[in-house]
Amino acid sequence: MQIVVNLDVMMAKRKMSLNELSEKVDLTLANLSILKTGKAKAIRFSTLEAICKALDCQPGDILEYK
Amino acid sequence: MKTKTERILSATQVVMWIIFIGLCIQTGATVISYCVSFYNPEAAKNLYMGLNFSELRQYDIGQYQALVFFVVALGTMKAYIAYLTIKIFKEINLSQPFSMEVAKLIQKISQAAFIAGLVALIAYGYIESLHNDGLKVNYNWPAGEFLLLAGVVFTIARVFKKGVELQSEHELTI
Repeated sequence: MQIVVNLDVMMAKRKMSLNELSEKVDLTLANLSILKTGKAKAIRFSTLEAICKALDCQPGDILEYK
Repeated sequence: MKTKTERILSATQVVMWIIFIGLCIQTGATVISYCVSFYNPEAAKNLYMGLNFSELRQYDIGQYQALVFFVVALGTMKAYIAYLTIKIFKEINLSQPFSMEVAKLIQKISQAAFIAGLVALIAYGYIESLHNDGLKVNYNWPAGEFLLLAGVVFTIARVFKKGVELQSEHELTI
């Protein structure tokens, strides 16, 4: 059981590329890639807030425990 | 423009190189004097900087060899510790100082200091047995100091390893 990041799913739903999301949330592509590939160890609330605002979604849409 | 820390580290690196070279010269000179003392017993009067084991050499060459072995072993361990410290300066990256390589080097230093302490302790016991035989051998065996150094550096190594974990976690915090 682990926390899974469904960022690519939400990005596909909102038809947003990684570059666009990177510009909107002010994160580097490298960091977004780390998040997308599930290698991140932790996420700041400020980052989660920025991603949810950019993708117009809830934290539960991006983070899943399975 | 170098920061104060970088300047201090650069100066310390130079000092460590001087210490390392000095210890190599000391140990090497002792070995050479020991080899010469086989053909010329007078060499045992001054193995290095006044180190006089001539009385022991006359008493028993086997015990003389054993004592010189301890001296050379301790000198080698000290030089090795200096070498490991110099390696830290080469490995460390001040923007991300907590790396596994540096943590391993610090652990190696504590292990080397512990071994040096044990060697010094055994040599001290050996010298005491020679004193009981009526032989006077003057040499300073800093066993306690090395064991203390080993303990302190071991503690620092554990804390540093925790620092590596925290840094790694911080790097993967988005």
